[in-house]
Amino acid sequence: MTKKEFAFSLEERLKGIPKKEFDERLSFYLEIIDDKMEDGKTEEEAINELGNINDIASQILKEVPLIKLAKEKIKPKRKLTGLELTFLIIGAPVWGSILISILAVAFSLFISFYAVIISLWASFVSILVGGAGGAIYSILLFILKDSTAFISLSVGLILIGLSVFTFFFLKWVTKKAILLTKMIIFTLKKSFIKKED
Amino acid sequence: MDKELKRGILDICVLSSIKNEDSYGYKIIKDLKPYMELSESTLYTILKRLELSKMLSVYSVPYDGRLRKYYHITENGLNRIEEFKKEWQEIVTVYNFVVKGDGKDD
Repeated sequence: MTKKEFAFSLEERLKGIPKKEFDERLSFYLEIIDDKMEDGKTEEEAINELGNINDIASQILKEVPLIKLAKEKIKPKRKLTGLELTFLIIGAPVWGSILISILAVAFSLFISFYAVIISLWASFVSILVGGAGGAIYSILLFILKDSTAFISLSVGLILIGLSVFTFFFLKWVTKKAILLTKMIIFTLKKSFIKKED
Repeated sequence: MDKELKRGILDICVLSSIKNEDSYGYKIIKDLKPYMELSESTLYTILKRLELSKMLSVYSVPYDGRLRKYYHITENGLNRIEEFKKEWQEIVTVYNFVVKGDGKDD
């Protein structure tokens, strides 16, 4: 692959990224390729050492914020005519409210997803507190020679054990939730990128 | 190495490589090679992050008909390195304690 082909392939995979971001990163890579060649490597070697171009493109995509991609997508590629501008302004109540409702739905889905996670953690805390409370209360009952002391103690210990199990399970769930969120954002980003075939 | 740990350390490595002398992309990768494998994409991200947190500044120098970007460490960057050295002094002390007992179990 030559430098030109590298630049072209990368650009193909990242159409839709703000030009400034793309140019900055590309010149960074080209500079390194030039330095490697000066060091004695061939153009082919220098570029191969950078790794798989799809991986490079994915990496860049992961780092450009979704908002920037969205902004870039809605930026008009050429000057709007007076008529287009007029329609845009007149129709604002319509497309504006549609956009707001789409964003509101997406946002509430996101919030409710994490609300579930948070309430699961809240139940973990209550199981732990319930268990600890029961165990401590049982000590009081033992002192008072109350026969329900044993019941309180065993229920308390069971709950404490359950909370330990719940803790590790919830840690796993939270990690997966975060990974899932990242994957969704990445897929969304990809949809903003035009693929040239 | 732990991913989070590695990320923090890479920032410090890059800062250290420009501590005594301004350097440029490829040279930084080469200088760090004996200590750490650094990919070009990772380096770009690190340099960008350090620039945003004002730990280094960037300037261009014409070289051989093209422009080469040089990175220069700032006061903030130097402070960060000192912070790192203090943090790890404690860790080294703990490490020495941990390995002290090793020779005896044969």
